[in-house]
This record gives sequence, C-alpha cells and structure tokens, in this order.
Amino acid sequence: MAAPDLLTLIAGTLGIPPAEVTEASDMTNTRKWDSLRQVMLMTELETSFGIELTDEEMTAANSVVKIREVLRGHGVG
Amino acid sequence: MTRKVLIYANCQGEELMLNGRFVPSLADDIAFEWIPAHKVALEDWETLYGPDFMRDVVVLWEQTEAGPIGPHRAALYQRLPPGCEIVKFSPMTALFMWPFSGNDPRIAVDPDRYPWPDSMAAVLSTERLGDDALFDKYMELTASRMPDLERRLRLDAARWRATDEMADVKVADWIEGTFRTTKLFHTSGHITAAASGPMFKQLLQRTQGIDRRRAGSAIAETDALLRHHQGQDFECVPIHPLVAERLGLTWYDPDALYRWHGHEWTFKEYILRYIRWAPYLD
Repeated sequence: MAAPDLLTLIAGTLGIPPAEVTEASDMTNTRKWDSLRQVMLMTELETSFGIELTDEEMTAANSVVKIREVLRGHGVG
Repeated sequence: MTRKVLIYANCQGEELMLNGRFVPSLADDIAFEWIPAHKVALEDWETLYGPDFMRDVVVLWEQTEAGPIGPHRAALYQRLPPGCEIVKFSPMTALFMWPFSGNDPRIAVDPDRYPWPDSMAAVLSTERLGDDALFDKYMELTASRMPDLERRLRLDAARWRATDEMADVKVADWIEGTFRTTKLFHTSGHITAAASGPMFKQLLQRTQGIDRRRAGSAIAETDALLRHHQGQDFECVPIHPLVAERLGLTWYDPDALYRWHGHEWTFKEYILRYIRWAPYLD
C-alpha cells in the first residue's frame, strides 16, 4: 500500500477538500484541525507510513512544516 | 422569569439538554438551552444568542476544550449575566475503539453519507469484488494493520486528562474503568445513554444554582427517563471484531445489528456499504 501525498492525506483525514491544505497550513489556520483530528492525523500517519511516533512528536507535529520534519526524522519524508 | 441552564458543548450537549427538558422535577423551574460549540458562527452571537437569549441564564454547563480560548468561547463569556454559575465538564471521545479513523477523501466531497472515516475501507474502495471476497480482503488488511490498541487507549486517555484538568466533572478514570463492561460510544464522538446519564447526574450534583431538593429528585428520575433511551444512536459505527477481542469488550455481540438512520446492519453489511460508498436513502 503506497503512502499518499501528505497534503492529500491531511485533507482526507480532516475531511476537507485538498485545496484547503497548503504548505502553510497548521492547527490554527485550518478548518476542522482540532485536537481530536490531530490524534486522528498522527495515527493515520503511523498507519500510512508504517512508523510509530512518540508522544512528543504527536503533540509537536501540528503543522504541515512540522509534520514533514517528523517524517524526515523517521526516514519517510 | 424562566431561569436557564445554558449548555455550551458539541453534540453531546444536545443529549444533556434533552435530559434536562424531560425530568419532571425541573420542568417548571429550569429551562435548558444548548449552544452547539462545533457549529456556532460569529454572527450567531449577535442574533441567536444576543441579550434576550442570555438574560435569564443562571448556570452555564461548559464543555472544556484543550488549547487557548477561541473567539466563540470569548464571545460566550462576554455575554454571560453577572453572577452566572459555571460548571465545566469534559467531552467524551473514543478514537481507540475505531482505530482506522483517518484518511478517506470521499468525506470531503460527500460529508453526510458516511461521516465516520475508515481509512482501510477507503483503500479498498476501487476493488471490484463480490461481497465475501471484498469483506475477506478488508478483514485481512485490517488484521495486518491493526495497531496496538492499548497505546491508542493511552493516547485518548491523555486527551481526556488534558480536558479533565479544566473540568469540574471529569471523565478519564470513569471511561477507563467502564468501557470494557458497558457500551459508552456509538461512534468515536457520539455517546450512549449509559454515558450521558451519569454525566447529567454529575452536573446536577455539582450545580448550586438548582434547588438541592429538585436536583436530588431529578437525579433519581434520570434512570427511568433513560431506561429505554439509546443515546445518540442515529449513526452507530460497528465495532471491528478484532478490536472487541483485543480490548476485551464484554458487551460485544458479533451478531449485533447497528442502526444507521433508517437501517440496521451487521458489521459486515456496514463495512461493505462503506467501502462501496453505497447510497442508503433510495
């Protein structure tokens, strides 16, 4: 199962159109990206990329930029 | 003047409001109103929830939320009458029981058909197989991708504890001690009467602005009120049998039928319809 494009994955998990997610998106400026969806998003990243995030990473990765950093740290970004 | 208990919460607040409206002991004393925190728009504070609406609010039952105070909550605080009592309670959510809640791009396009995502089912959405073969493939895929559910429970519990820190009525210990023996959730965000009832009673116990004798009677009436009530059951997302097994859900019935609006489906029937994004209103 190939990992999808990150922006598409984020939009699909938040339940919003892909056009609403950009490289500048984060929890404060993106519709539906609340604390509940943040957990959904982090666990979806784990499932899609076959990685396990630490609690700190799950909290810190609250923007597209930070998610990319975390994925790079796991060698999948 | 009708004194109001105002509930500021997600859709779980509607359950609490309805409970309040139908307990006989409070009927001629307290009116219950609900502001849906997840739907309110900024203009609503000037129209729907203006001074006339807020005038008689004596108690606010406020659902807590992690993070900074947003513009809606700030607008609410600004409009509360002086001396209004505030009792805070935590939301109840359970992603750990639906571990594939995640990416399904179809929801953005068609948000109301199946609003509770299953990313593994979404992966299979282009398969053209018969019922049994498609279901077997889903079971195989989800078994291979099933995460550590105790860890998922821990993640949810951390969220519960974060909102509990701000709340008078807390949920983390209660959910952790109850979910294996009692069904508390119909979806990751919708609760059963077994969850809303105890929350309602706790809120009544904590609220000084309701006459103590009436509150005590209302608490006693709540069990009868909810005896045959199923809670927020218009959409019930079935539990994956492997989730039930690994979490040790004693109430789980593998042959159970789950309500989906005007239908009742087994786990297999629901999953096949979800994978195929099948219409159900025809």
